[in-house]
Parts: sequence; structure tokens; C-alpha cells
Amino acid sequence: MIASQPESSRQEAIELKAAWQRCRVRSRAEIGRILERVHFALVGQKYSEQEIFGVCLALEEAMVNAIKHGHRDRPGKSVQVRFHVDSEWVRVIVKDKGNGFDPSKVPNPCAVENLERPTGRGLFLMHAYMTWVRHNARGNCVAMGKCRQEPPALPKPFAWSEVESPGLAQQAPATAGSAGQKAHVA
Amino acid sequence: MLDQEIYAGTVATVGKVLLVSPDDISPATNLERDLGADSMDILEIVFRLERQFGVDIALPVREAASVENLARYLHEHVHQSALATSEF
Repeated sequence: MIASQPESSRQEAIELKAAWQRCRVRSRAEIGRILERVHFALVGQKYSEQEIFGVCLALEEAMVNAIKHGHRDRPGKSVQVRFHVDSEWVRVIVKDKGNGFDPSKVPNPCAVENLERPTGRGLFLMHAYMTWVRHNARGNCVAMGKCRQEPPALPKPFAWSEVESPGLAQQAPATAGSAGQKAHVA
Repeated sequence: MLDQEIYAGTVATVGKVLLVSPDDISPATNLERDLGADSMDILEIVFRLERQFGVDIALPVREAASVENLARYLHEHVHQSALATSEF
């Protein structure tokens, strides 16, 4: 079917498909292996440590949820994981073979009455650390995306002339701001 | 009537993700039944369409899964968000 597409868009579509890495997880013991692969891909694209931490945490939670709740820890079933890392976005999709759940019915773990509940934090963490989170209607597949943050602007180069200048101090009385700045530098 | 620009954008995205020629996609094409998309593929299409049109695609629409349903939903919501912006 793809043969009638223009060559450039066909090539683009094939590259897009190939860029997704696919793996399977059968038990919690195998989660670390997947996280290592994702970590490696993120480091390769020079994502910040903070971003890598957030993506790996969200992915770990999704895989644990799939194995624990979706498969009830039965090792015979495998969870499908796909991930794609480029210079702008990291995307992961996790799908289990369970009956799914309704994410809107998961209690808010930040509510006072739920603070001591041991469950429900995984979904919260996924939303907290990822830019985009969506489930399918059945609730057995979650897709997440993290948009790369712009690197922070570099601080203004330090210049002594702006900090200690007796001439300037004589010309203008010290304000609270400049006094604070000197105290900070000291 | 379908907005042709939105329909064409939807068809291009579906074709790109599922490796299907736009010539083989019609408004009635169902992503799962006719094109063999699974839920992972559909969420990938949802991600791309949401970025492309600046619209959040609601849960039932993600599973309605015909190209026409998606394009109509995008058409309604792109226009709604444009109206909301113009009110300011």
C-alpha cells in the first residue's frame, strides 16, 4: 500500500517506524534492563539529568503498574514497551494484557484522606514528570511524552566593576538593593 | 462537511504512522479494523494530531477511530479554541 506514496514521505514514514525501539518485560526483575536502554538513549541525546530522572521514574511506574495490576505479577504474560527519543521529545508507550482501569477513578494521592494509602502514586508521578500522558479507553495502554526543556539562559558574566566602586558609592546613596547585593557577594 | 485541510492533515498523519498511502485512506476508514492499528499506534496518532492542531483529543474519540470521526472532532475543537482565543 505504501508504494503509491511520494518517495520522500514514504522514506520519512519508514524511518519514523524504525526509530521506535520495541521491547517486552515479563517481570519486575527485567524492568532495570529497559530503563538502562532508555537512559542510554537519553544520554545520547544530551537530555539533562533532571529530565532523565523524570522519564525513567515515570516509565518505571508505568511498567510496575502493568506487571502488578495489569498482569497480577504473573510472569507468563509480557508487557509491550516502545520508546522513541529524539532531540525534542522522549516518548514511551506501555501496554499490558490486563483488563485495564479507569484513570479518572484513581484517588488523588495528595488528598488528606489518601495520604496513607500505599497505592495511586504511580499515575500521579507520571503526570508530574511527563509533559503529555494519555490512556486508551480500556485503560491497559498508556502513552507518555516529555518535551525537552530549553536550556536555562547563561548568567550574566561576573564583573567586579559592578560590585565595588567607591566612586559610584559617593555619587549615589546606597539603596536596599545594592546593599543586599554587596552582602551577597561578601 | 469535512474541513479539507484538517482532513488532509489527519490522513497524512495516519498514513505516516501506519505506513499506509493516503490514497488508501477514505473518511470511512477505521484505524483498527481497516488499517490494523493497535492501541499503541492509535496513541501515537493522537500524540501527533494533538501537536499538529493544538487540541486535546478526548478519550471516546481515541477509540472511535474512523478517520472522519477524528477529522470532525479536530474541526470542531480547532474552531472552538480559535473562537475562545478571539474573545480576548
